Amino acid sequence: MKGLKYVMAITQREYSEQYVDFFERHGAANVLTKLAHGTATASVLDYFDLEKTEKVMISAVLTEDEIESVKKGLVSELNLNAIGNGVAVVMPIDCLGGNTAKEYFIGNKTIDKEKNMSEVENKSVLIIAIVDKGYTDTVMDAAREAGASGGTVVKAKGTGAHLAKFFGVSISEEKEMVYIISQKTKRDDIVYAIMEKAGNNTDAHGIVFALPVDSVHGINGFND
Amino acid sequence: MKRRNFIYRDKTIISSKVKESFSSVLPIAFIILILSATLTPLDSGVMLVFIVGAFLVTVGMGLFTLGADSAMTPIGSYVGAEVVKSKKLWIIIPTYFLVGVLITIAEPDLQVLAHELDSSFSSSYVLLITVGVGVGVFLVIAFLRMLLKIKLKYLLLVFYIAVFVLAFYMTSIGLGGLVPLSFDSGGVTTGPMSVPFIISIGTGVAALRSDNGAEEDGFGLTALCSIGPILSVMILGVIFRPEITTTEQSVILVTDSKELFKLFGTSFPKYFNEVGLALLPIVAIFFLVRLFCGSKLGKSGLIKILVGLLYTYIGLVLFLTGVNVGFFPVGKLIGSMIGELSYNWVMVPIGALFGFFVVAAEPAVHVLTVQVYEITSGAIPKKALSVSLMIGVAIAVGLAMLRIILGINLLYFLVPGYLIAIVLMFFVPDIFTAVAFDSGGVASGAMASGFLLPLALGVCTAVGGNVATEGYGLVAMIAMIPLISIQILGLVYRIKSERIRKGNLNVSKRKEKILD
Repeated sequence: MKGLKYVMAITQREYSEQYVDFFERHGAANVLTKLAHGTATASVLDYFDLEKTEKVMISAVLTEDEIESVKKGLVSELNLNAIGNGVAVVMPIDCLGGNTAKEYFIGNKTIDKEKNMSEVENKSVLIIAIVDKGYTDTVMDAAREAGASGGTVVKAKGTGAHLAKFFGVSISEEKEMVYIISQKTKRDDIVYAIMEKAGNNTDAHGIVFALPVDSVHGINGFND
Repeated sequence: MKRRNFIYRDKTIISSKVKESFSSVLPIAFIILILSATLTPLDSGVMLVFIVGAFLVTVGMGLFTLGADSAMTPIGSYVGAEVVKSKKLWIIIPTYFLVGVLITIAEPDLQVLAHELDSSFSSSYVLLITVGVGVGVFLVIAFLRMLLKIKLKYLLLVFYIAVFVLAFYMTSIGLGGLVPLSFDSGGVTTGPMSVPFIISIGTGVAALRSDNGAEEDGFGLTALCSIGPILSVMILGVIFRPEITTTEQSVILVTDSKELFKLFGTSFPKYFNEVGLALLPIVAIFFLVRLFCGSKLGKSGLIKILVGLLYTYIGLVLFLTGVNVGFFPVGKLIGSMIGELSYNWVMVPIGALFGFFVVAAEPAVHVLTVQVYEITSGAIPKKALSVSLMIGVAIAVGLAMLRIILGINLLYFLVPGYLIAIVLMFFVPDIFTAVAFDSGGVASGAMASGFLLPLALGVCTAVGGNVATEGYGLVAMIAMIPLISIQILGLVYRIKSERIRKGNLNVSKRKEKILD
């Protein structure tokens, strides 16, 4: 739907409150936080656990008006351009489930549907790979070789056909979702690499897809 | 021009861990410094040992928490989840039982307790194995609870009633002196080695489940496992009817730096052995599970766990050496000096102050707060949990000191305390009950037995009390008050979230349309 955008920011856990506060100041009625992990860049550091990889994924829905000030604030207030401070993506919203959802996300504000002022760069995509638990590294190795710069992992549970029951307890498959932000030009390479190295025929049993992204903030040189 | 501001600069994880542990040890060191300058002048040799000890504790705790995150927790949740995935009860139940027995016997805290009571029971192995079996049985009970979906509070209710019935029976047949000790062993057995492991078994199973209540059920394992030792020591006491004699640990004083090095030089190998022995079964269980029913972890996952184990090993050796060599004598000396003062009631506020800061330095507390934070996706913030824990332990230590000075029977505190905790269970969200009863065992770890216990024993000897009946029981108090303070946090949480929900109810019930 026009006039609304979904913003997702990924940052260090200790900045979580600052980010939530930031989005609330810019007009979000409800900010959702979920825990995530970063993927390490250098394997030796990773083995010794010297890299800080505990992250949060913070999401909010904002109107077009607010998006502009948020984009500026991401740089001026949250300092997103400094290395390691986090990354944010703005994505389109297709529809909302009624006024309850609208009020939940943005409160009583009216949505100006005519306004579509935030520029849609449309130069990037958000690649999401869903793999069996423990195979994030396989995905990231493949993605990095194909030119990805980093990724974020969220632990997830699979349902569907594999759901097994044990006494009254349903046992689900443990999955990991890997989020990779990439330029559109590199999309095919990365997706193919993941399909090949961590696809459904491998132990990782991965599937991969990509979502459209309006703009990306916080990765240096990304938009150049 | 690009503005570069490094306020939000990325830090490496190890520096933040050491910083974290430094900030939890610093307040204790500071209080001891002030005390040594005012009420309790300490010998410079003791101070020297203490400063080295504090340094070791800081580094050790930093490394241990790092290792707990990268090895102990993953191993625990891996074992918990993989065994359940087999979906065969004849695999699951023996494995859980064995895990319970092995990690308990290996727990360094329990070994210390067993040695102190060597002469009371026919041999220290009797106590070790009984307590181990107690934990094993209760770990199986905790697992069956998750399967059969019995609410934790009903189980806790039943078992604590059993504990108190037994306690009163023991008092009536003249074994009352053993009661504080039994409660202490409940708190002590769930120490730095077993707690991260037991908690993460629970959360590992929780991560696997997709039904309602999976999150709440992830906790409560430690809670049940702390009851095992209480019951088993009591039963052992009824059978053996021992005279309680504690082996007095003397305070070693150093006079020069050479002796200082000698002291630590003889202590290090001791803890290297102990901790190695404690880690061995955990590593063995991990590889057995991996061999027989485990899914793959990937090469890098395995390397990370091995490196994490190394961190845990070194961290725990440094930590335990620091506490037992550096903190133990200082605790005992301060305790006895203040106990001899005419105004020895000052021990009550001082004890409370120590209690407040000591929990923060307890390694297992860190593991609990992180797990709670992860499982609830940050809904229960780390800070809220640790602050209510700190307040709880402060009250506990204060009351325990009061009890020692006035010589009141422990049951006068435990009965009303547990009564309040049990009543609260029915008014707070289930997850807070589970976390609260877990934290009871968690709060009473190495710092409690290595520093607060000698402090209490020092006071006790100075005021001429009976060490067995009055000196012990401190750990029991530390294990009890958090049950109340964290459940109160849950009560506040519930009231607040109900208020928010009421505010959200204003949305009308009209049929809604999709907005697009």
